[in-house]
Amino acid sequence: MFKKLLICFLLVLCFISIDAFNDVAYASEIDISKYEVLNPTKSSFSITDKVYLINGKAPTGTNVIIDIYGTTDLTKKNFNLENLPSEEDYIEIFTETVKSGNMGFFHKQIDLVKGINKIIISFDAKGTSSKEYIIFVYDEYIAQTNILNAREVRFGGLTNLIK
Amino acid sequence: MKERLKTFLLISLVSISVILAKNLWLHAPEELFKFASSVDDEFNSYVLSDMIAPNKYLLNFSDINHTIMYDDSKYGMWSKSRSNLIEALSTKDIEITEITTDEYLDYNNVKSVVFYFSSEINTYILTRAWDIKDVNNLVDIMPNIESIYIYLGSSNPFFIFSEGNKHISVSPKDIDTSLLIDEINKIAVTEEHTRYYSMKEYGVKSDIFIPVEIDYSLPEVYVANDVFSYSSREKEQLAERFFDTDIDYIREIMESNGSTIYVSNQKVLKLNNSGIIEYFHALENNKVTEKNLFLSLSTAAEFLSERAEVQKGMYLAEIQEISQDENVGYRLFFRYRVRGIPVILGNLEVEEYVNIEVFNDHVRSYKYYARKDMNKIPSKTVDEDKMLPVLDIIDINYNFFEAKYLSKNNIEAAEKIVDIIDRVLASIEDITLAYYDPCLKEQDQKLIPVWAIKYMGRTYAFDANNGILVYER
Repeated sequence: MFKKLLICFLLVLCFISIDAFNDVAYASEIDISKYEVLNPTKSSFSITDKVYLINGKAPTGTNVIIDIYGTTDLTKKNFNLENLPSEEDYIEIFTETVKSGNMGFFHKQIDLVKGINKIIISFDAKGTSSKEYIIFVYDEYIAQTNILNAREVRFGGLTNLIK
Repeated sequence: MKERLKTFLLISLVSISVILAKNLWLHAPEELFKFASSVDDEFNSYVLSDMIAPNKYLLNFSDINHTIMYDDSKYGMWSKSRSNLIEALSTKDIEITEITTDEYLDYNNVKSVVFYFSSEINTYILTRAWDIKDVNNLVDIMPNIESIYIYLGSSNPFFIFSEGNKHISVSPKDIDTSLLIDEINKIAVTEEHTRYYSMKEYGVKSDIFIPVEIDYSLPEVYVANDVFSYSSREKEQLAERFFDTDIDYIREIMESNGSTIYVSNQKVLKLNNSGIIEYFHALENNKVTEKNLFLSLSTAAEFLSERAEVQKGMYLAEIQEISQDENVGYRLFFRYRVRGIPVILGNLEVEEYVNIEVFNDHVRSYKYYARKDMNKIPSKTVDEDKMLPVLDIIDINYNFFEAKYLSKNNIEAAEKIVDIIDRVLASIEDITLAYYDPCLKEQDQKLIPVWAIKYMGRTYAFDANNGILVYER
């Protein structure tokens, strides 16, 4: 009886060990640097345009899940980058899975809503973590009046000719 | 005498009343009132400035909002920019500075328009075409131009003239670009345009812009061979126009294959049954030892206007220097557009839509593939089939592009190169949306929407609906 129990115990131990070994082996195979979001380049920023390009790199055939959440701001809390909504204030407005192609690129042109947008990009691969971005879309009229504070300068040396 | 005066007045009044009645009520055939117009009016005039038109233009609304347009007839950005460009090329009160390619690429992030030519344009020829009498020193600093950038933001306007990696910025004083600014603002508000993104978004240092999503397809277009439908009288009229003489003085030869040859004074005109019109006029004894591009282009423009047929949207695509029996001249290639989109011909007999050999004031040869839009009503709506964005086309055919890169650079295994994808993408020189004419049918030839990709010196056209390679040159 004792022998039978010992065999059973050893078999269970073997199964657990193999499973755990597989997980470790899989994780060590993944090269995290191959999973990259090229755009957005910043974790939080503001723009005046509602149409935005999300793109990045992942090994060919990888599913990339893009979730977009917006806020209705019916309570007039005037959300912005300094006054972000709480988790309960977000409403899912779009979710789509795109696949990285032969060149390892994935992309999606998305339509954002006015106000705060939260974008979560997740790779369907073990060992990778999802990435979160906050984009504040606001009126061009406001943009013009507050241009000095709000303008996102993504490029350098541009002021040479612009006088 | 009184009776005569009354009759004259009556005839005059009746004539005036007929003209006024026509204006008010009748839309009588235009030809009826064209009896006094000259024969030349039947054909479009084609002047030198018409030849020099951009192949496409990029509109930069902001750092993330760009589009590319091919047809200037809707918004007229090129025609509206002419007065500003004339000022930039003539005013002496300018600040000229050379900028780096990186700086140049960054200026696409602000409101602006960039006009791209299909091949480099001689700056001096451009100034002559626009009749600029007193040019500034930009013509010497920048003898050739491939693209022209115009800043349309709220600060002082400036222009950037580019050729390859050389970029010259010109800041003239007191220049008014409000016409262009109003137009770009109008286009931005309509939001009808397809978004284009810089290849920089994919890590490639390039000024190529591509769409990543397209929610439309190009309209279905059918073309027909023009010569194929000519009656014998129409053919004779064409010969009369080419030789500028009456048909009685022209010898006509009918070939067994259906082609017709007309000969007059060492000039030959052949109307091939395949739809190609060929004209040949041998060079005379006086040798052309010094070539003059401006004179040659002017001669070609005059020839096209007076002798040949000119289709709306025809533009100069390429200039080649040639020599023939110690004579030197130019071979000019013209392309045409259908509904604003450039057309690529798949005919092995002709390189381009129009091909002219000019030796200063003498047109030695002219070859024209007479194809015209049949203006058929499409069998399905435009949005039924969506085109594939060009990045998807490149992705589908990535192995093809990689193999070409490895072969050209004598590399055996791609695995050895870490950044092979970046290198392949960086080798793309130009991307253009076009129609491809397979030239298989005389009539009802459906044009195929294609993405024409210029890659390492060659052009590859891929069917925009399925990504299949249909043309290579």
